[in-house]
Amino acid sequence: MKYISILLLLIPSYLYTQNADEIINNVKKNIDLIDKFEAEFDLRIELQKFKIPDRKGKLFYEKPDSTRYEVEGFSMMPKQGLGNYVNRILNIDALLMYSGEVLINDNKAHIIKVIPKNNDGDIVISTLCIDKKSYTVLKSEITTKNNGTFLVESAFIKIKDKYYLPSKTIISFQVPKYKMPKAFTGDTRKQKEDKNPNSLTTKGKVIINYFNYKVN
Amino acid sequence: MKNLIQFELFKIFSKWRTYTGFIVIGLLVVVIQLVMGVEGQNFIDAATSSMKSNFDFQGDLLNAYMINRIILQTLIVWVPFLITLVAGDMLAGEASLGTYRLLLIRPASRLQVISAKYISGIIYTFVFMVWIVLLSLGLGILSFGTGDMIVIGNSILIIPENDVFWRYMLAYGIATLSMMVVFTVAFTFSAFVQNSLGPIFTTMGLVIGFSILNVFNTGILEYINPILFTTYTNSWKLLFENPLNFNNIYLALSVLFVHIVVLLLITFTYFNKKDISS
Repeated sequence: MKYISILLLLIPSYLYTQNADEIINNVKKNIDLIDKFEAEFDLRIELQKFKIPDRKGKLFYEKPDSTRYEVEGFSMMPKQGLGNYVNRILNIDALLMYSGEVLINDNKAHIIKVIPKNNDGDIVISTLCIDKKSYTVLKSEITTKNNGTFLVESAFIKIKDKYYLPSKTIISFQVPKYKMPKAFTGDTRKQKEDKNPNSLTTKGKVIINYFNYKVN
Repeated sequence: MKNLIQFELFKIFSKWRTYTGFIVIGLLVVVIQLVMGVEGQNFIDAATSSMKSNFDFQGDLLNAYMINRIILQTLIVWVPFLITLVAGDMLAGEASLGTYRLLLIRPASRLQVISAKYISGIIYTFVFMVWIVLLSLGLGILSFGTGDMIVIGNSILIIPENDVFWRYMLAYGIATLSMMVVFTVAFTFSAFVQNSLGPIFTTMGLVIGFSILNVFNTGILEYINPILFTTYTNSWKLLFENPLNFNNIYLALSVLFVHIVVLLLITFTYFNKKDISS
């Protein structure tokens, strides 16, 4: 009886693992369809105490993981969530865990946690919300060792009736609060250290709209 | 009148002290540019370090526009002292040399003589500011090139390259106007005394004193500071805000302009009635 109970407990977990693999494979299939693409984008950065003009640019992607962008003038491009970032996450040797379902903008999505098997990379854990119909990653939360946690939300368009590519991506993150360097203020007095972690960081957001896709 | 102005300009530019400011500013600009050429990137890195973990930076922010702002910010505090050296001597110099009578027995009226002196002084101030522009912006562009401008202060602002040059021209315009006020102050004092050292040191003292008052902007000083001309010495910085606060820009221009008009009225009225004894 004891063994049967354990077996009954393990079966759903096994099924879920299978399910997670299958879902991720479908996402990978979607991504594998695209050998290369280029797209134009406009980028807006919303960051406290940082006023940066909106930028337009071009993004170039080539399989397996080459992302390049061209922007006129000075630009700040987010390190996470740009272009085909999901590919990078899925290429990590990781443990996949099915964690249920969620509704995102009226779309039912699977929740899959991706936990890297070794500690070499920067990503600690990623939670992906994958659309049940299109197998696109609508939302992902990426926790990193060095750069905090990113929340990436995307909306997709279907190009040439088979390629799913993002039409809009919103990347939210936390960054250390900006403090004017003492070299600029001339104030070299030792200041009291603020120990409240929340007061040391501020929320930032990057909004990217993609258009004029050219695929393969 | 044209001849009088030419004559006064000749007098200004034939004195060694006139070139002191040009030489000092010339050396300082070159030194600051050299320092920024070596250390400028560290300045930018220090200001943007908090963003580096989340963003890849593309493009060069160490350019003439960024460096020029630092130069203007550093030098504008000292320019009044150099301008005062010339302005304080404009009328008092004539008195101390005993050339007032000689100057005023000519057919030109007192009003014409003092106007020519003032206009010549204003031309000197303008040329001095143009010298700063040529060196800091002109030489800067040749050495460092142009690009988007980073404004580092209590917040960080990036101004697109095509939006910078006109801002600088207007900023230099406001800076020049504030230097014209300093010139006018020294010119006014110069009308009252017989020795040029008096107006030079009085104006310098006034600039220092008012600048100190500007730091303590509380209590009664909140009402006094807005009418002090030193409050607007750094008003050129208003051109590097986004969005532009036109009300503050107009206020600065108005207060500076009113200072010039009032000081000139005092000077002209006094000089017209002045008893010339030397």
